[in-house]
Amino acid sequence: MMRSVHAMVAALSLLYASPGISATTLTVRDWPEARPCAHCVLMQFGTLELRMPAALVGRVYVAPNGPPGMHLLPSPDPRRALLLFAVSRAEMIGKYGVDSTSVTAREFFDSLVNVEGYAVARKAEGVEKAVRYTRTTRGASADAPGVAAYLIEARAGETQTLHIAIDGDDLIYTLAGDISAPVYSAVLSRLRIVPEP
Amino acid sequence: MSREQKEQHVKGMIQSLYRLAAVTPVWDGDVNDNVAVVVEKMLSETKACSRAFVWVPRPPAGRATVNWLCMQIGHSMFASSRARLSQACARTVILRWRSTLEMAALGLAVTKSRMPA
Repeated sequence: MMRSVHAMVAALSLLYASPGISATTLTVRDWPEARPCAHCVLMQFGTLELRMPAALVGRVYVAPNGPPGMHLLPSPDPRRALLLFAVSRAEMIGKYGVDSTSVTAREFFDSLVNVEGYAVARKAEGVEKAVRYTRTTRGASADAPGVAAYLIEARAGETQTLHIAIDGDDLIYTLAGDISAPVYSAVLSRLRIVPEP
Repeated sequence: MSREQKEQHVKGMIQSLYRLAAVTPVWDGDVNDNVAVVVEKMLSETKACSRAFVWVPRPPAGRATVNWLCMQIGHSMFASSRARLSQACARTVILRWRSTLEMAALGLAVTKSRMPA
């Protein structure tokens, strides 16, 4: 019995050590349902419009110079902070040697767990060690493009990452920090893609 | 300083910035010259949102090494500059560069096409 257990563990170790196979799988979940929000703050970063409960936002900080990003500081505890920023597809996926002119952000994130050539990206993006890697999508409508959001869920207490890819948009938005379930739901459920003012 | 001590010094700088930024898990990769290149780019990017590391010069031929970083940034200079760096600036830079840093720690050279921004 012990021998077969050891053999199984050894086989699993080999399997997971292989650069072509990820221990993490991509789980698909439903887009969070929108709920009415009486005390919501309306914010826009690029073309992302967020309508979030004031308690989850706290202070919004945008630095007057340096790399662009919007900090949400719901409490003085820096571990609860969130940063929303955006990078071009070329920056995000081109650095892994992926041809960003022919591979869309969605294709890249969808393939992260099962394409052998993406082993480095899997590791660098934190997918390899993620507790869960999930995708949720919202289809295009008459006045808004389709959106896909990929949550790289790290262990509790660690920095969580949510990448948001908008069809036809060269920018990939990233929210990183303390993405609790209420934050995840608040960000996505009332998310709108709108022109820059 | 031995090579090992220099690598430890660079790792200590990176980890200190992660702690300031409250980004977890704190980076625990292997330091090499590719990592040094990324660290120099990160410090350079902090110059856009803070004056804390504005005194760090550009590396010769534009490419930093572990030796160069250690020569330029001693323990006390790093500590005093880090104390002047805002949490928001550190967080922005760390979150924008952490995947590139991970790549570098895997031994992959950071070329222009791999550079964010």
